[in-house]
Amino acid sequence: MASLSIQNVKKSYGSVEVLKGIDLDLENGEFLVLLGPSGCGKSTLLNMIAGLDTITDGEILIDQTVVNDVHPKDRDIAMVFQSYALYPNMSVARNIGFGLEMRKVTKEERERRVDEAARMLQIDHLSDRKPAQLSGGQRQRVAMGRALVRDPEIFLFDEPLSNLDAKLRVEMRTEIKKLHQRLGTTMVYVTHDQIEAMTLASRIAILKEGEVQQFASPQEVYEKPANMYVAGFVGSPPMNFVPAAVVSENGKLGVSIERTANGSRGSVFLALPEDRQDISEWVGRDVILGIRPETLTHCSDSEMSLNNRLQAFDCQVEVLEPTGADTLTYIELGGREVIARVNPYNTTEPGETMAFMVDMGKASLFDPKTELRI
Amino acid sequence: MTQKSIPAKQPLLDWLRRNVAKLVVAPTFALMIFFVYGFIAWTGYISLTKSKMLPSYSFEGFYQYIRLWKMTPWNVAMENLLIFGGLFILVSIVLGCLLAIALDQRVRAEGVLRTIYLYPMAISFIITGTAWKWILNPGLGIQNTVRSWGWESFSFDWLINSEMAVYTLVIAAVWQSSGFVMALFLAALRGVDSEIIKAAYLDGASLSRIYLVIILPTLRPVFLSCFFILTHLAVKSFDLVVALTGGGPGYSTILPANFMYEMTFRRNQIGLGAASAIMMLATVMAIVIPYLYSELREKKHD
Repeated sequence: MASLSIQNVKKSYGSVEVLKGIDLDLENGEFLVLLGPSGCGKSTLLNMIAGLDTITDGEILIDQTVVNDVHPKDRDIAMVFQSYALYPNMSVARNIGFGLEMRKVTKEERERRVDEAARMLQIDHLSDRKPAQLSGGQRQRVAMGRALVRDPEIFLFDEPLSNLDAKLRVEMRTEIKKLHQRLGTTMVYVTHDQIEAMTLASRIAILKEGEVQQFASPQEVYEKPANMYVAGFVGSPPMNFVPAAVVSENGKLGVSIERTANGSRGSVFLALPEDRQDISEWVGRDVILGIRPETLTHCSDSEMSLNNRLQAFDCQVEVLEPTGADTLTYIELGGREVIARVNPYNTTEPGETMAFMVDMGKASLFDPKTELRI
Repeated sequence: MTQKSIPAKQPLLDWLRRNVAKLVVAPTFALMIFFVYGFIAWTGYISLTKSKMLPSYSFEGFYQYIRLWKMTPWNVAMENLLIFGGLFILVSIVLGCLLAIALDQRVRAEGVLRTIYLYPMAISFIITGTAWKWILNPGLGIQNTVRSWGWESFSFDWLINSEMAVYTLVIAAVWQSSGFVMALFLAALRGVDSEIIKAAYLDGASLSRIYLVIILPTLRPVFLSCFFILTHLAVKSFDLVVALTGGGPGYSTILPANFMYEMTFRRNQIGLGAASAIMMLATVMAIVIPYLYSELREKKHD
């Protein structure tokens, strides 16, 4: 186990700046997920932690020791690759034990540890097979076994599940989570899948164009996204963005939104809760209101009376998409399409007007110019 | 209603449409059967006769083969083929492989170097032979140049030394073919997943270890392809000998193909020439058939 610290790390290829000063600090035993679209520099950062890529500027520290110039094999890290990178001419057992072989571990010790790792991942019956004779999920397990057997300070995962089918991906995700809970080793995991990030991470770093957009726990990233990019990237279906104006009504600050109800166009006032009344400088200005689909649902009087942050309004329904548990209800707010999660038994027909309520305590406000959270 | 009438109306056109692929292939197929396999069979039959200047068709059994194997030039030719072929294949593969590995290290001038190494392949063996004849000629080439620099006792006269002349063939042939081998290996090396190399790095393997233990074993098909391409080049080598040594000194550097040509077209010994040609075919077959057999068997297992 080890702590990992990335300090103002930059990477450029010629004049192209891939990473523009990354700062991340990781405690012992944390699970960091680097999340971002392809080309955001997340894999480059991982390769730099592994020592497979040089660092243009800044420092990477493992256990308070600068490792910029330490050879990959001496950093005591193990990595699981996207393509699994198994050695095609070696048996499963030799694949797993190769790192130990190179480190001159005795044969008995090696066999014992390979056996242990193989049993842990339930691949002990495959030890004589060649990688070509394995299924995708089995190859994935061998790749993990190869990392596991070394008992490293830090595990690195480079999109390890992206080559698996959907069902297997969910299975292996749980497997990795269990592994982290059992070993308690520091792990860094790269993915572009926000669900993987949310389920696995103890902290998520969202990258875009070589910059960290937000570095926080999954819950905080979800509930308090630092900007519109993060808000749109995390969550499925994504957060709704509604153009709104900040207004003051009856001594309370809130937002005013355009919508159609009962065939007529008009605006509706949604008051902000007590703890969000500190934005008086925004009165009269345009903002973007971010609402998660599950905080926007059919109006229920009993819930309204219990929670004063809930605000009700009515709006015309455009399209219904039943998913079983919930029906995704498309409405139009402020000229944008907005999704609400509604109980299937409380929906109306498309074209009719329905009463909704929104939890303003869980809503986010963004500056339309800088796209930052207000 | 139209279901029936279409095939009934134009049966010829329909037949054509169904068999167009076979019709297109048929002429080449027929030509190949006649000119390649037909002539192999004819040569095989002639080798069993006492044909001299003109073919005769009276069957004489293995008379020509017994005669052939009693002739010193033929035995020299087969021995030369063994030395030349063996060294040529081995050195070309080793050198080509090393060049490919060197170029695979992201060398800056890779494009230029690759072209330089590959170009000899575009030259015919006649040109290669002539050029190397000049280079290796003691009075003109390397020996003369080194002596003119002041090293008077330097001697490099393999070309006119009947013991060593066969090795000059190896030098010229390797010069010509190793670039091609390099190109094959380089293409295969580029196909190796770079993540495997990264993984091996993290596992603590050195660069030489990565190539020897992990990458080269995966290139087995390339080794085999190179081996077979070079083998057939070696067996059918003819023009290189003609241009470089002319078979000499004496007949010390002749190869089976030169022997066959000499007997068939110069000395009016068609039967003997045919027998030597069949022996060459047998040499190639002895190598190719086990290969084809193992390849086809492997396919079935997959």
